[in-house]
Amino acid sequence: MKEHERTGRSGKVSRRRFLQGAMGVGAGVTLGPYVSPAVRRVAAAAPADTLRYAFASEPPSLDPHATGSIWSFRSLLAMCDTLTWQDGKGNVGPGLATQWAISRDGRVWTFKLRPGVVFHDGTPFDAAAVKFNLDRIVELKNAALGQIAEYESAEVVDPTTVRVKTKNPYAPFLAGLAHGFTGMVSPAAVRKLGAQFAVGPVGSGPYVFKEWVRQDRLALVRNGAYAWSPPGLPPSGKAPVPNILIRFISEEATRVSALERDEADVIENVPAQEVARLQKSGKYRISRVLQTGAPWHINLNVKKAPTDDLRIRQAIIHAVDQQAIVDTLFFGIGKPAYGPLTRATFGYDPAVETMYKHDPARAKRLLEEAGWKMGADGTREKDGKKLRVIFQVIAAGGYDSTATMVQTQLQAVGIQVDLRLLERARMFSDANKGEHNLGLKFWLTADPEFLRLHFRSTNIGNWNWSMYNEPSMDALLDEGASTLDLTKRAKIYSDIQRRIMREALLVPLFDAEYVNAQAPRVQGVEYDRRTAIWFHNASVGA
Amino acid sequence: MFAYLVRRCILSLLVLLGAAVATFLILHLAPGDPAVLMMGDVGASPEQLRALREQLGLNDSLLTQLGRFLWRSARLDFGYSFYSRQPVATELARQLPATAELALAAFGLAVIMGVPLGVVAAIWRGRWLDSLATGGAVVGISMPSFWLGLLLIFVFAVHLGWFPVTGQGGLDRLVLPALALAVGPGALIARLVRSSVLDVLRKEYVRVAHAKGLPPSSVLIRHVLRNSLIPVVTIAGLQLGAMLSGAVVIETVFARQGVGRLAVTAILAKDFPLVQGVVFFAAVVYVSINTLVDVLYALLNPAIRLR
Repeated sequence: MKEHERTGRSGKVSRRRFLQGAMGVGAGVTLGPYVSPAVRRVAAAAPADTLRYAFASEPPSLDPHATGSIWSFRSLLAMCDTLTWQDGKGNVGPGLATQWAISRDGRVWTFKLRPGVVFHDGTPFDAAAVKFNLDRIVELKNAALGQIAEYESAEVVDPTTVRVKTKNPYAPFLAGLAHGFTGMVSPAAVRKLGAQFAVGPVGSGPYVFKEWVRQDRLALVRNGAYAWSPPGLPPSGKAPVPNILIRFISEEATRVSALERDEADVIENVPAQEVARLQKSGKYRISRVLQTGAPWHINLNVKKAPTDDLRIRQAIIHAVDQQAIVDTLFFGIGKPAYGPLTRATFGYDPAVETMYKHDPARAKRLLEEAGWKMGADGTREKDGKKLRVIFQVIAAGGYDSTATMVQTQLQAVGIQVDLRLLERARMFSDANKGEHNLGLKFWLTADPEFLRLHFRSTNIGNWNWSMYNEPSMDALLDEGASTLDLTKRAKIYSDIQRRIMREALLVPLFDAEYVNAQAPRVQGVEYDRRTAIWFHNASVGA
Repeated sequence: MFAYLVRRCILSLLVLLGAAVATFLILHLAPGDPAVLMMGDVGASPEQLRALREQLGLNDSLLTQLGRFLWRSARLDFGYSFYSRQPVATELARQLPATAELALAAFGLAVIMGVPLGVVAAIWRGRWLDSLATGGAVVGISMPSFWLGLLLIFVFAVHLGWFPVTGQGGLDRLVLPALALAVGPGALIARLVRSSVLDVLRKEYVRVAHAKGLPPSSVLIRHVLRNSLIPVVTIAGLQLGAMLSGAVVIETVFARQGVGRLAVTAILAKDFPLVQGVVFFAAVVYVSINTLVDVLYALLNPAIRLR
């Protein structure tokens, strides 16, 4: 349907048509006469000065230092600048800090700050503000601290120079400082607003917080004083679009309808089954971003029988058909994964791609070798015991269907899967106790350092769902976190990845993609591999 | 009547206390750690989690937490949402207008659709009009509201372009969600009215009224309808209660503000103070509506006395 046709029609005959339709559904008599003027208004064209973005969920908080939500993260880079900036390829460059130097022992960073930057409330951005922010992150102990875990202290040298100490040499530090959660906020505003800061943050970014109507919308207005631009983005200074309106539309079919009804210019998390249709319409631009971090994967618990047997773990990996999962369940969105890191992540080693392949015959041989013989009911047995594994999964968001498909694939080689679909909170507490054989999760982050959280022995009972406890692996993971030389660092992570796969600690499933659909009038909305949205250069046409 | 109301109030307070304690226990005994969820998609070290639990007061014993919660609730202070750090009462108050608007509109539609449909079906019992009305009611009751909502969006918003898809504010944004929400309860009311009217039509006083030579319309309105509405009022009251305490599915499908979505988000995130606040509100709504319904009985039928 063309735009002018729709406007013309509802402008002229909307009342009669409305009445006909409304009578048909039984409500016309009461509401019809009042509604027709409103109908005309609705058909008005999209606002020329506003970019309307539909999120799949609402951020729980907009205080960068007090949230762990991906939706906070996605909105924050519009409002808050970061000390460093991570570009679309994952390289770290200057942000609010223009240059830096590191001490010989790798523990002291000296940052030179961009002069003349002010927060939205007029407070100047300086070395004291940096110290305030970093200390606040430690004090609030929320997700932001995970980004700069080894931070120790900061010292103001002069207004544009700050010296920052880390407890150990800490390689992910620069990337951590580029994260939306470690964004710089106005110290004066934090002191003044108290708890209100979480619902109205004050940063120095290209957009100023205007209004947040819970469960409805987040409105931002352009920061007219924005005078710089991160590397890789055009040096535009002030952003092109005067207003950004973020709506929260959790039902995916409604999100698509909002786009097609011209109530949203961009929608995120486009349902996989709709991507092809929207693309084929020729009207909408689909952007697909391969994410950094861990692919969707199933941790195999090495402490609980029968997955304490390496051969069984290897058999499980061989039995799973990643491509079938991607094609059948996600309509080709996502790419089959081979190791603990996604292909977009720093240090990803393609060597893992040849370590396993989908090979049910091989899986069966491995199970035979381990002494599990096929029983009459299609489930293998050994010493009168059935080959049964417990698979814990969050009962939502594609996890459940993925798990069901894996269940079928494992049954085909004789492994019976006891699938436990759990509510999110229950899943986390249970998996941390190690009552599972298999546990499904994925991880969205910039730096491979997160593998420490997933495989270091100290994180058993936290996120080490494989319950893996190996001092040599712990040492390797620590080395990966503290090695500043990028070539050496990549080598360490290559070792770690191959080792994780050799030990069969997880079943890689697929690298997730962040899928957005944009109306034709939208230009210049960009994304990074952590799925942050850059509004710096976004514009809307008529 | 007055004594009745006083007694009723005391009972209501007991119900509210029960609801509060039950919610508290269910929330705290169910597995899952709010701190882990708050750290969200990023992950946290055990020390971070401990610190956060301390900050949220989750390290105290269950009894201490319950005592603190009840003491505060008694003063209508439900504390602060774990996430937004805003007072629970504020969070709730912000969602109320949208919920009230939707509930009242849907309730009105349900009654307007349900009562005439039921009466028509009863009067022409066994005829094609009855079959049509009862058949329609069965369809209405069985239709999942999210499906109806998506269908309405597809037909009337996307395809025909008469109404907007999402949001609130303005009658145009109210029509589709109110309709989607009203169809189920409307159908239920229709079936109830039909059976209730049929019941009353067989009563002797109706025959007497006819025998006295009263015009059929006056028999229907003054004698039949008035007496047959009693059970309908009970069910309609419960429906209104359910709508006022939030219509999760419809709010989600139409991306509207509302108490229902607030509750679900809070439950999934284990935002204890917010869940407790919402449940308390829902309890208040149900208790008040039930009291109101009982008072309505007496007004509808003077034969019923409240004692």
